[in-house]
This record gives sequence, C-alpha cells and structure tokens, in this order.
Amino acid sequence: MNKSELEYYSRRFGLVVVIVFAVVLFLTPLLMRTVKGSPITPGAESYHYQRAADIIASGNINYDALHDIRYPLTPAAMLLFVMTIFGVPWLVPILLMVLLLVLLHQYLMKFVAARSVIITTLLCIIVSPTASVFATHHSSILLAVIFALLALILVENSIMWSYACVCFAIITDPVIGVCAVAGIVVARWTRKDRRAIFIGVFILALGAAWYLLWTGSVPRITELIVLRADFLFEIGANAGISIFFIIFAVYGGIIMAGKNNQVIFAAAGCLVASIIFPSLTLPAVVGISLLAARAIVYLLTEQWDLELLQQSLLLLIGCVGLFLVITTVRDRVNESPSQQFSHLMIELRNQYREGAILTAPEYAPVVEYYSGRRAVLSGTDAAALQTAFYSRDPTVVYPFLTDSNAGYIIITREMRSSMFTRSDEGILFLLENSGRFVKMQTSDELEVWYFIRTPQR
Amino acid sequence: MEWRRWDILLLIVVVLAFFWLRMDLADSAESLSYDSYLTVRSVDHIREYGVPLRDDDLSVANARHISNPIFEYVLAGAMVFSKNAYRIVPNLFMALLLLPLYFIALRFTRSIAASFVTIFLAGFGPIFFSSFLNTPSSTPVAAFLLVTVLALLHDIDKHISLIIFLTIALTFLSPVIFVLVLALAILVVLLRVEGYGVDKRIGELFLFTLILSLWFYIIIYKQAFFSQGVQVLWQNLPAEFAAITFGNATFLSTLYALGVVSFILGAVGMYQSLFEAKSRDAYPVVAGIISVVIALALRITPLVVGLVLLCVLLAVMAGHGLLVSVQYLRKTKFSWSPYVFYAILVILFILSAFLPSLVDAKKSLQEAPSAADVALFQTLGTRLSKDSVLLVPVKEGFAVQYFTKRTIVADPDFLLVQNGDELLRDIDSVYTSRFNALVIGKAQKLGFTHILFTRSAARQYARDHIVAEDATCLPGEHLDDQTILYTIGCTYAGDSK
Repeated sequence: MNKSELEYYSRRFGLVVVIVFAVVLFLTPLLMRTVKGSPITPGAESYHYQRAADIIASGNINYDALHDIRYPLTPAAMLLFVMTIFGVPWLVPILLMVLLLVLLHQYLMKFVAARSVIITTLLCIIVSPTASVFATHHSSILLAVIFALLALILVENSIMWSYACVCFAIITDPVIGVCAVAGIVVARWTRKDRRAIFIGVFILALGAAWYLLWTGSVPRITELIVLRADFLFEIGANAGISIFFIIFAVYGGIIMAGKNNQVIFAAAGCLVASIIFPSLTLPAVVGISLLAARAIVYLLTEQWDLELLQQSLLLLIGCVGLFLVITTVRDRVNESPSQQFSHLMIELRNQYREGAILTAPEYAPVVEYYSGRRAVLSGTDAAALQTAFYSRDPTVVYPFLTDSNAGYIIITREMRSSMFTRSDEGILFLLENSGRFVKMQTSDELEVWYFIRTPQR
Repeated sequence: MEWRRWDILLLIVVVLAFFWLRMDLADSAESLSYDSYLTVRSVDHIREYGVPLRDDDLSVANARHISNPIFEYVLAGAMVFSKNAYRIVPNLFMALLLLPLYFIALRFTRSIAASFVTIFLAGFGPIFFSSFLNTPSSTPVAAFLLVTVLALLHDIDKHISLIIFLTIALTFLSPVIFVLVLALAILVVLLRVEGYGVDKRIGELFLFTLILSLWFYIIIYKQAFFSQGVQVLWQNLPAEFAAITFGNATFLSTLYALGVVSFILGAVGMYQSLFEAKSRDAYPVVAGIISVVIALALRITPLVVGLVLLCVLLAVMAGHGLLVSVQYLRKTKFSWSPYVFYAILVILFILSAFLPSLVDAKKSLQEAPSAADVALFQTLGTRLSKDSVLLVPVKEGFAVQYFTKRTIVADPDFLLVQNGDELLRDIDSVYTSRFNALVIGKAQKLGFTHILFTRSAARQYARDHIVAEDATCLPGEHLDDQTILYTIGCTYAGDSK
C-alpha cells in the first residue's frame, strides 16, 4: 500500500472504523459474561465504585455506614451514580474509552501530520490489554486521563479551562493530575508564560489542601508507589503493557529519532513511571502506541531490503493483534466475580448470623457490594494479612478474628495458589484441624467456613 | 581445486567417524537417559493419535504437559525410518554440526589445518562429546541450525533465502532461537561500533525473528506464562532442580567442560579478532559467543545447552587463536619452537579434552536406567494394579511412567505445577522421615499407594531403605538387592487396611 492511499483511507473512514471497532470489541466480553451468568462488570475493584454510587443513590451521599466513615466524593462515583439511575452503569467505562479515543484523535491531529499514524495509534490502544481492562472495569483512572487530556487540548485556547480540567483530574487521580500540571507547565515554560506556571503551582497546593481537609491525613508515598516487577502483560499483569508494543515502540523510536525526540522521551518517561505508579499505565500505553504506530505505518509504506520478511512481519502483526484480542476478551469473560461467587455473597447477605467476612483484600469490594457485610481485610495492611492468613497459632488468630468481628472465611482457588505455598499453611491448617470452623459450602472454585466465636473473658 | 576436494573428503570422513564413535557409545547404553521418556511417550502418542501428549493420566501432580511439539513430530517422522531414531537424530546432528563449523573456521582463518583443529576441539570438548548421546533433545538440531546461520552470515548477499529459511526453522524448533536473536542484535552493535556500517538486512532479520519467536513461544507457553509469570523462563523448577539445570557454573567447571585448550586459545583468538585485527568475518561468531555468555550469566538457558553452544563457537576462535599464537612465536627468539608448541597443545588436548570427554560420556551413559532397572520397572508394571499410584524420586519419574505404565506422583516437568517446592519437600520428607505417621499422612495428601525406593533414591538420600519402614503400615518388599517396594497399609488414623 502506498502512502497516499493509506492517508486517504485514514482520513475518510479512520475515526468511524476506530469507534465501531472499539465498541464491538469492548462490548463483546460483557455480553459473553451476561450469557455465562456472571455479573456484567468484571474486576473486583469495579465494585468499590459501584458501591460508592449506590451510597450516593441511597441518600447518604458520602457516608459509608459499613465502615462508619465519610470519604471524598469523587467525579467517578458521581458519574457512575448518574448512569446507575439510567440502569446502565456497566456502559460507563466503554463510553469513557470511546471519548478518550475521540479526544486523543483531536489532540494528536495538532502535532502528528500523518492521519494514518493517528488511526493506527488508536487501533493499537484498542487492542492493548490495558484498554481492555479500563474499558470494562470501573476505575477513576480513565476519567482522570480524560480530564488530563482535555486540559492539554485546552491549554492553547484557554489556560483557565485547562486548569479547571486539571483540578478535576487531581480530584479523580492525584498522580495523573500532577502529571497533567507538569505537562502544562512544560508546555508553557517554553513560552515563558509565568502566569500559567504560577497557577499550576497554586492548583497543586490547593489540591494538597483539599486532600488533607477531606481525609485528615497526609498520604504516604508508599501508598501511591507500587513498584511492580511484572508490569508486562505476557507474564501475568492483567492490565500490563504487551511486550510486542514495547518492541514496536523501540523500532518506532529508532525511526523517529532526531525528528520528534519529545514524543520518544515522553513515552519512555511514562513507561518507566508506570512501573512505579500503576495509574500511569494508560498514559504509557498511549505514548507507546504512538511510537508503535509509527513503526507499523513505516512497515506498511516504506520498503525493506528483505521484502518477503516485511510482508511476513505485517502478517505477524495481525496475528499478534488477534492473539491480544482473543486473550484479553477471554480474560475479561473469566474474570471475577463469577456467578458462583456473587450468588454466594448474596446468600451471605441473607444469613441471620452476624459477622464480617475474611477473604483476600482484592475481593473486598465485591464482598462488600454483594453481601452488605464488611470485609475484614480491605487495604494493604501487611501485619493484619500476616496475622489473619499465615499464623497457625490459635492464640493469635482467634483474638484477631473475634476483634475484627469476623464470622465467615472465604478461601478461593486463586487464593490457595497465589497466597499459600503449602496446603496446610497458616489458617488453612486451622480451618481443617482446629474444630472452631464449620465448613458451610465448598466447590471447586471456593469454600466458605463459619467461625464459631466464644464469649471473650 | 584438487586440494579443496581432498579437504572436503577428509571432512566428510571425520564427520562420519565422529558420528560412528558417538553412535557406538550411545548404543552401548541399554536405554535412553531418564529425562528422555516424556519425549518418547509424546512421540508414541503422536504416532498413535496424531497429536502430542498433553493430558497425562500417569501423573498426579503434573497432569498436563505443555511443550513445543515440532521436534516431537520430527522424531515421530524419523521413527518411521528407524527404531533407533531417538539415538540417531541427536548424534547425527551433533556430528553434522562440524560441517558449518569447519566452513566458518575456514572462512575466518583461511587455513585448512586450523579449521580441522577447530572441529577436533569442538567435537572433543568434554561437554559437547558427553551431551545428548542418548537423549532425544532438540538442542543438537538447534545448535546445527544456529551455527549454520552464523556461518552463512559471512556472505549475506548470496545466502539470504537460506538464512531466512533456517532462522524460521530454528524458531519453530527450539528456544535456542533467542540466542540467535541476541547474537544478531549484538552483531548490529558490533558492526556499528567498529565503523562497518549496519547491514539493514541483519536489522530486518533481527526484528522479524524477534517478533516471530516471541509470538510463537508466548502462544505455546501462554498458560504457563499467565499462571507462573516470569518463573517460566526457569521452567518453574523448584529451587533445588533449578540450581542443577540452570546451574552455578564456576570458572573451573566451565574450563573443564569446554576444554583447557579451547578456552585459552579461544580467548586469545577472540581478543585478537576483536581488538587487534578487527576482522569483520569474526563478528558473527563473537556475537554468538557474547550472546551465549549473556544467556548463561542471566541463567535463562540450561547450563548444558549454553556450554555446548559456547564450546562450539569458542572452538572457531581457538582455531584462529592457534594461528595467531604460532605467528607470534615465529616472530620471537623461539621461532624454532612451533613443533614443541604443537606437541604441548596435543598433550594438553588429550589430557584436558579427549580423555575427559570419553570419561564423561561413559559416566553420562551409566546414569541411564540399566537393563536390570528396565526389567524391574516392567515387572513392577505387571504386578501393580491399574489404580496404584507410585511415589518415586522425581528424577526417575518419566522412565518409571514409561516402563511401568502406572501413575506416579511427580515427574521432572514442573512447568504447570503450583507449589513445586512444597511437592519436592513432601517427597523428600517421605524418603527421609523417621515416623510412619508422617509418611501415611503424605500418602493421603499426595494420593500414592506405593513407594519405590530405588538405587538413585539410595544415592540421593544416603540410606539403603526408608527409616519409617513398619511391618504393618509400611511393609517393604525387596525387588532386587537395592530396590524396595513399600505398600501403604494404614490410613491416617492408624487403622490397618
């Protein structure tokens, strides 16, 4: 295909094809989940936002009776609340992802001349595992990225509107908000726009004050930073970056070197930062997709010395895309919560015996959403996790369970394989041998135990 | 021209003699190595059903195997021609490997004598000679393809189609392709650094091969990658097995495996071609050596595979190193001494390579199950009922499965096994425990009905029987002077069955 043909088709049909492809691709796993009987929205974390929206709908606004706390009212929860009124909360991530693609199209048109590169970038984003997760799960990150992108689009026209968007981005996800401010400050620095820089710093201070007022605590940097060794999709990171994207991005970077170094540095910076701050994975995918798209368009339009390899490589790129699409769709379909898990939680909601539920922290949002009971472990409290799951000492475990009002213990198949190295480790030993736990339900997917509490002396 | 015909004839004779020697040694062993029998079962499965063995009814812990099936299909094809294909294929390719090696050396050194020295150094490198004698592994074929591609890279214009074909073949055959991919990347860097300019075609070949091989292996091992993560690079082996397979290679053990002459002359040749002569012809081999060393240092290639490749590639450099050393000697006061130098080298070669390689080969063949072991396993298979589950030392798992046709607890394929370390600890505790209650408990946990105490278990656990032996709960029966079959006779509560 020659360059002008590719440009023609990209200009004529590009955006429409991208949107239709995105909607079909992101709707497919949700429809398949419905057919399978699983709750339509995948991802345990999604139910944290769903519950926040339900709390708003119940009239409590931001008061969580289950934990007896008030928490900041976020734009993500409010948006979900609005869509819950219409009965389609599961549509929110797809709509937001399509909006992101459209905004990105507009933004990239400013500084990328070739429309084919823009369209290929969007296609790369759509087939990426990260987009598959963000377009189906409820998350504040996608909304924050949209606000940040809006801010970058508006910065040329209206600095005030741009900063207004930054404020929303900071409220939604502080890391992305701060990055948006940094982007604007860098963009205005070259023009020596002191006013814009000053406002940027002022907004950051305001954001910090807002955070402190609502939460009453200073955020620990360790809460924001999660250093991950497995940020690659192919080695098990659900929303990670595909290694193929990185290889093509490197190739694209070599092609672009010297011509557009800012893009290369920005993408590389986002990629490195995303290893430390998971919130930045989506922006990193955008940057990497842009470089990878440059490489793919080069392969489509320029001639290699080994033409046979070039043709084969293009075919291979199609195979890689297909592999990513099939794998991510299958992952979304099989992701928790399953039908069995959600039904069990609803059963627990109707149990007359009181008590919170002890299970792995990642299940906490689903447990709380469906069962209406508190999850004993919902954060990253390593000491509590250690006491609850890894101790065999009854004098340590029983007081912990009693103090945290735990009534039920749920052990899933994934927990057995990922959290425990021995089948009789820690609480697994006590469940089977101590006589203080009654097995209520067991299946190949999970088991539920009831903890018999004794009156405390 | 006449001279050239003579040297090719001699080369063919050497290759055939080398093949004959390896086959003669391999045939002296009564069976294949312990690790071979999963491949054998998979090939049998292909011949019977047309598909490789995936769901394994004969294993409790490793009920599913995943591997690259291409080589198993090649073996299944070869089995049509000869029943001895499990020995012929690896030994044939180990011998054929000397052909491209000779041509690389000839191109690089421009000396027929040095090229023959190269193939002798490679062929009798202790690790090279003693490996894959009776193991149907894809590594010999992969090493042959790798060395051929490196040989053809000297004249890329003429051989590009063949290079592409062999590279694709290597991709589908063995993970050794990643050594070639890394070598191509290093070659591009070396050419650039040394100011030769980058041949665009090498870059294109690199990118294509990288994407193809990654895609292919991610698809094959997808299930393992998604469940075990980065551990798959180390075959998800428990720490104890990983240390043996990926190894703690010390300087001395490497020196012994490669041969002292190869190592010293190879280092001289490499230094000279990289820093003094800056010969373009040397770069593909140097790139290959660097990539193998990186893979060994990062422990992402099995030690044996890495050392075999290193032995072969270093021999080319050793051929060049020999020429350089002789030329250097001729310029000194010791110009009379090349013949003394040759004599010293020959003695060193015999002592450090030839003799150790024969000894190591004999040793590796002795490690295979003997005829008595095979007969014992087969008898055991007829004696035990079909629902019996045997606990055997993990190392012997594949062979016991194959000969007894009975289910075992665990075999050495840990790729999809969750908590392999725990499994290994449990097995060790059965063989070493003093308390039969613990053994009975493990029997209920792992689901075995019999324990086989073999010669290799005696060596591994440094005892001649299971200490927890008990006439009621764990009665033992001597199958021969060292092999004992224990039967689980109690339940966990201590009730006699």
